This record gives sequence, C-alpha cells and structure tokens, in this order.
Amino acid sequence: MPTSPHFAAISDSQLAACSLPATTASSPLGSGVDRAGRALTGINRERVVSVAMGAAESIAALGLGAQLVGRDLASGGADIASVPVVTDVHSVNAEKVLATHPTLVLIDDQTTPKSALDQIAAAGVQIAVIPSAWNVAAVGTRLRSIAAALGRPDAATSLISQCQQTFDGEPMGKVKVAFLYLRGSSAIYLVGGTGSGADSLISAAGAIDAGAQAGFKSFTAITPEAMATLKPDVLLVMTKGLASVGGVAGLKRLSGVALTPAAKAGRVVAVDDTLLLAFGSKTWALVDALSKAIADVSQ
Amino acid sequence: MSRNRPFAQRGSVAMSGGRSALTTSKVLVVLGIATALMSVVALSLGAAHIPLTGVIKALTGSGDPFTREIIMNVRLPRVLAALIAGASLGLSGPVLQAMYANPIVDAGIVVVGPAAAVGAALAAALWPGSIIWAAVIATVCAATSALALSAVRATGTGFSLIAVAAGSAGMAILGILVSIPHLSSGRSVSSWVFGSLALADWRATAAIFVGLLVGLLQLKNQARALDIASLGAPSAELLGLDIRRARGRWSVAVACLIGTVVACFGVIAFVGLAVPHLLRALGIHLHAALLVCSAAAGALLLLVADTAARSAIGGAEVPVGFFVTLLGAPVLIRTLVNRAARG
Repeated sequence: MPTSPHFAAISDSQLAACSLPATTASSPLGSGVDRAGRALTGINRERVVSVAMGAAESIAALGLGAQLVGRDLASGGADIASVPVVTDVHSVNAEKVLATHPTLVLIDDQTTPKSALDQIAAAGVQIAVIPSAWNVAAVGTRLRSIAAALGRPDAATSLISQCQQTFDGEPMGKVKVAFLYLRGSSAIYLVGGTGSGADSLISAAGAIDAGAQAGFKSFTAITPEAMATLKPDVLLVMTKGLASVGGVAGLKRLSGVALTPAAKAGRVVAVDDTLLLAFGSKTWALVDALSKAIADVSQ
Repeated sequence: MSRNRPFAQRGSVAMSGGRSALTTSKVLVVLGIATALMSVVALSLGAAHIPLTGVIKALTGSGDPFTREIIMNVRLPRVLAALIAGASLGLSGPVLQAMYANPIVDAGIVVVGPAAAVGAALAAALWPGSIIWAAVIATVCAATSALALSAVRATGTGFSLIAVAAGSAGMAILGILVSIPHLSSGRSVSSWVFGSLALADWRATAAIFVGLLVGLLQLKNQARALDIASLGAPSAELLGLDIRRARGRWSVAVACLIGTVVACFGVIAFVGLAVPHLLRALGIHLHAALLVCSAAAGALLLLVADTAARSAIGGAEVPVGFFVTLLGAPVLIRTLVNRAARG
C-alpha cells in the first residue's frame, strides 16, 4: 500500500481492545425471538452458529466465543479466525451450517436466502433473529439482542459500559467524505448514500457524507459525472476494495473519481473490510479513529 | 425451401440502382442530422447541470475549470465512444450476416462477442488496467471464433442453433472465469454481458477508434463480395468468389471492430442485429450502402441508448446493453414475425 501524507489506514488490530473475559458459564436467563417474532423457549446454546452480519465478532467480545461453531464472512478479528465460515459471501449455505451440528443459529433481519433458513429450521435447529444495525445509534440495541439470545443479557451491559465512548473530536465543519464500495479496477463502483451505514459513521465522526448529501440511497452505481459532481474532500474505502483497484494510485485513475478534490490530493482513508460496517463492539472506537484519520488526511 | 432462401436476394433483384442511391442518401442525411442533434443533447445532459452555453464555452477552452473537466474528460470521450462503438457494432452486423449468409447473426449473440469477452476478462486478470492487452487478446479470440464458425457447413436454422449454442458456451466460460476469485479482476458477469460505457475515457476511445479504422481498412472494396456471399457459399463460389479467403478477411475485420469494443465496454448485443434489419426494411440491401448506413445508424442508436443509460435514473449508471436490447429486441421480433408471415 503506498504511503502518502494524505493516506490513512484503520485496521482491526490497531483499535483499543474492548472485550469481556471468555466464559463458558451458561445461564438460564436471556431470551430470543424466532423468525415469526415468537419468543423462543428451551434454547440450547451449546453450539452456536452466527450468520447475522458481523455479529460473531461481538459474540467473541461478549466473552461467549467458546460456544461459536460457525460464523459469516463479514465477521473478522483474530479471536474468531479459527471458527469455520458457513456463508458463501453474503448468503447462508444450509449444508455448511448443518455440518457444524448447531443447536442455535443466530440471524438478523437481512440474512438470506430464506430457503436455506427454512432448511435449517426443518432440520430442527432453533433460529434466533436479532435486529440488523446500519447506524452507530443501533449498536447498543444489537449488542443487547445478541447477548440476550446467547443467554447472557448482563454481558451486554458490561461490554457497552466498557466500549462505548462519547465522541470527543472537534466537528470538522465542511469536510465532505464519500464512501466508495470498490471491486476491481474496471468495475463500476458504488457510492454510499443514506442508509449505507457509512453515512452514520461519517456523520458520527463529525464530517459530511457526500453521497447522502446528494440524495443517493444505500449503495448506488453512479455515473462518473455524478461522482465528479459530489466533489468529496476525502474518500472512505475498504482496505481489500482499495487493493482490488490497485491501491491509491489505481483509485486516483478511476473515471469520475479522478476529478474529485479527494483523488487529486490523494486524501484516502481505508478501513478493514470486516470492521467498517460491522456495527458491533468496536464501532465506537472506529468512529474515534475515523474522526482522527479524516482530520489528519484533510490537513 | 423458403428457409434457405438467401435473405438479400429479394432486395438485390428488386432494386434499381437509382432508387437505391436516392434512399441511401436520404437515410444518410437524416441519420447525420439526427446524430448531430443527439450529440448536442448528449453533451448537455448529465449529473452536473451545465447550460448549453457552458458546454460550448468548455468545448472552446474557456469557462470554469470544473465544467471544462466534466465536458472534456467525462462527457466528450463518452459521447465519442458511443458513436465509435456504435459504428463498429453496426458495421459488424451486416458483415457477419453476409459472411455466414444468415440474417439472425449478431456479435452479441453468436460466439464472436462472448469469445472476445473471455479473452478480455483473461487479459484483465493477467495485465490489470491494460487496455492494449485486453483489446489485442479479445480481438484474437474474436477472430478465431469467427473463423471457426465459418468452417460450420450447416445453413439456415441449423447454423443459427450452432452459433447461438457456441455463444452460450462462451458466456458460460466467461461466467466461470469471473467466478474464480484471482482471475475475476473484480468485474461482474453482468458488466461483461450487458456492457457499459461508464469506463469511457480518452484511452478507451482511442482504442476503439483504432479498431474501427483497422476494421474499415479490411472492409475496403468488399461490398460487392459481401453482396455475393449473402447468396450463400455454394452460389457465391459459382459466381467466382473465393469464399474461404473472403471469410478470413471479414473475420479479421469483425474481430477488430468487436474485440476492441468488448475489451473496453463489454458485450453490447443487438446493435449489429437491429440496425441492418431496420435499414433493409427501408429498402437498403446492397452492401455498398448497407455498410455505410449501418455504421451511421449504429452510432446513433448507441448514443441514444447510452445517453438514456446515464441520465434516465438520476445519477445512477445503468448498463447500456439493457437500453440497446430494449430498443433492438422489438425490431428483431418484428423482422422475424414479418419473415414468417411472408413464408
């Protein structure tokens, strides 16, 4: 990765550690809901598969990683690296899930495909649904749901009090940040807008999300001209996505992107792919690091 | 027997030279005016709201720097790319249809386009970001597949089925190639299959311009031979055409036209099919006129489709192939229905 005074990378490992000690203590407490919204009873939490996007990392942070026998690809971090992945990119592979002999499968309201979940349910495995989180404000609720489904509601309270930090950076005024979802140098890129998740992180970090400001929703494939018109001061990207376009040099050549003030000055912030949109225990530390990085590269 | 009737025969026999020339010049004048107007429209449309006076200022080198950059580095190369790629695709249609003596042939459907895409995808994985390698390898793959297809002895429906099956196989190879993580170069199957001019910059525009020039040189003085080839290989040979040699030359021509476009923008189907059929419906059958008109009409069709693709839905980018197919498919259907009705 080329280094430049205007380039900053935020990796999972450099964020302040924030997790509870591992425990195997089971508890009769807790609660969960199934896919129909009914309360689950008699939950067996011996072998847990988490395919709720990025939630496996939070399970480990809650100290409950020992129960985890399967995870999704979007969950990163050294703690759970050895837990087998049971998703094909973003979709659940029923066969891989069932091969882990789970007693409980944790999903969120965005988990697909339905057919795979039906197969898992038909095999007699309990499925607990937690809400998905696409903004910083929803992190606490999501952590509480995860902990409750895993029978340790108390752990969420401890973890939140340990990890949550109030934003103490200076608001940056008019710094415009555009989140780009990149995949390959000749692919069309997507820009993040309202509801992409990155919009929440960018505004929590004290900057303005250029895509959301222009009225784009979620992830939108935009024309090179629309990209140039956003005029972002800083580009926010995922680390692997940036590598796929050939690093900062490749990013600066992408049509449309090349014309932005951010690309011209090389002002880029790259965040680990699994960290950026995880909305888990590390999100608060991420907002702080993001705020500092945006301020640094903008100077 | 009607199935094997050479599709150009009706026109070649029925038409007097004088009427043909009149129709051709009329069509060319209309196409020229429409293309000029559409170019102005295309240059004034886009996410950045730039008034026509701003566009003119930017083109003449004045105005504010941001507007100038948008016009000179985003819109102008894209408009030119649409015109050049459209001309190449339009030109490839009648050539392929004549060399195989089959009216249902189009580079996007038969094997030529998919083969070029496989080559371009491989090149993109091996030499990321290199337009030259992608164009060269795509052209070689396209030429090879076009030549291989000309060795097929089947005619009519049999040939169409073989051509479509080979095209599907090419798409399947492309799909598998793109699914292999370190050979994928990040491009999705749909970006190859439906094509997009979003990647149009000056480099890509130059590459397809070279492809068009080389293709045109290969097709120089070939109109008469293409007329004869349309009658089918046996008749063409009786009339003294060295069909094998001619097909070799035309394969190279089509490969230069298609290979460079596919390497830069993906497979854009239906231009080469819809355009010549529409022109034949207007009475233009002889290749001397059909080639020129197909290039002009192809350029206009792709410019219209691409302008829609980039401005129909806010600032969103829609693959241009969707719009071309949307415009081209009804023409194909109409032609086939009419042919069936004529028996």
